[in-house]
Amino acid sequence: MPLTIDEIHKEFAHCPYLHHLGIEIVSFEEENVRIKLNIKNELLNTNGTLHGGVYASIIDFVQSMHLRSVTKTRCVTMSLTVHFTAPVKTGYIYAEAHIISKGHKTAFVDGVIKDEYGNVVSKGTGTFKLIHV
Amino acid sequence: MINERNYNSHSAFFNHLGIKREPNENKNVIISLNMKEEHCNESGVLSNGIYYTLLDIALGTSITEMKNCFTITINMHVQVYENRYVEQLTCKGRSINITGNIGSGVGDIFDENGNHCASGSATFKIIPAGGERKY
Repeated sequence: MPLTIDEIHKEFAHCPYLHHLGIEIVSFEEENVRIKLNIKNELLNTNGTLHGGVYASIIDFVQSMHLRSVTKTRCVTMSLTVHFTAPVKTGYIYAEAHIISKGHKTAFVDGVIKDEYGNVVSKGTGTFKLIHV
Repeated sequence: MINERNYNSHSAFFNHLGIKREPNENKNVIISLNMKEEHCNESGVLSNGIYYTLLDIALGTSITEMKNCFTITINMHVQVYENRYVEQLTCKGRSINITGNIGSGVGDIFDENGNHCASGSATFKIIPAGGERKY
């Protein structure tokens, strides 16, 4: 039985790691998912910029949210490649995703993070396995 | 200039997740994490973001220790083998090549039973201690 978009939204809204990072869901509609993060000191690396693990976590989240908003299934990440294009220190960042290709069991999804001025700060591509219950 | 910081110090995010540094094994940098509820994803199992973070830290530190420098991650590729609840994770990272101001590292993550959970590789820009950061 496929989940509804509201059920999927609720699952993510209660995700502990999402809350631990401080990620907020701006919009969660079919094929239209947008999340944002207010950069706080606890998310920084020793250079005083946002930690690479946070960038990668956000890309993974937005990709799986976007994919699940379309498929209404569960999915798991099989691999992720992230390019770190610019550092950010303060303010907000926003992330969105789109599906490159989707089969019955596998999907490829692109994700992008932009700063509050619209500059791309990170991009990534993930490979996901779709779980049909 | 970044010479006022110790390149061996841990980041705020390292402490925020509760990661621990373990003694090196051979030339492997070892870090570990005891899993807590805040590390779980929407399905109640370990979030993949933890894997990415552990690998970024372990691989970057392996370059830092070879060159006594700061590092900036340029790109990272991670393959995930396990999506389930675990008690403890151990990440082992090592540098495999350093040429000029670019370093590469590889690493693996294992659970408390020795199961291989994830592996990754990453490329880093090297910033000498006391050098100027140009992104």
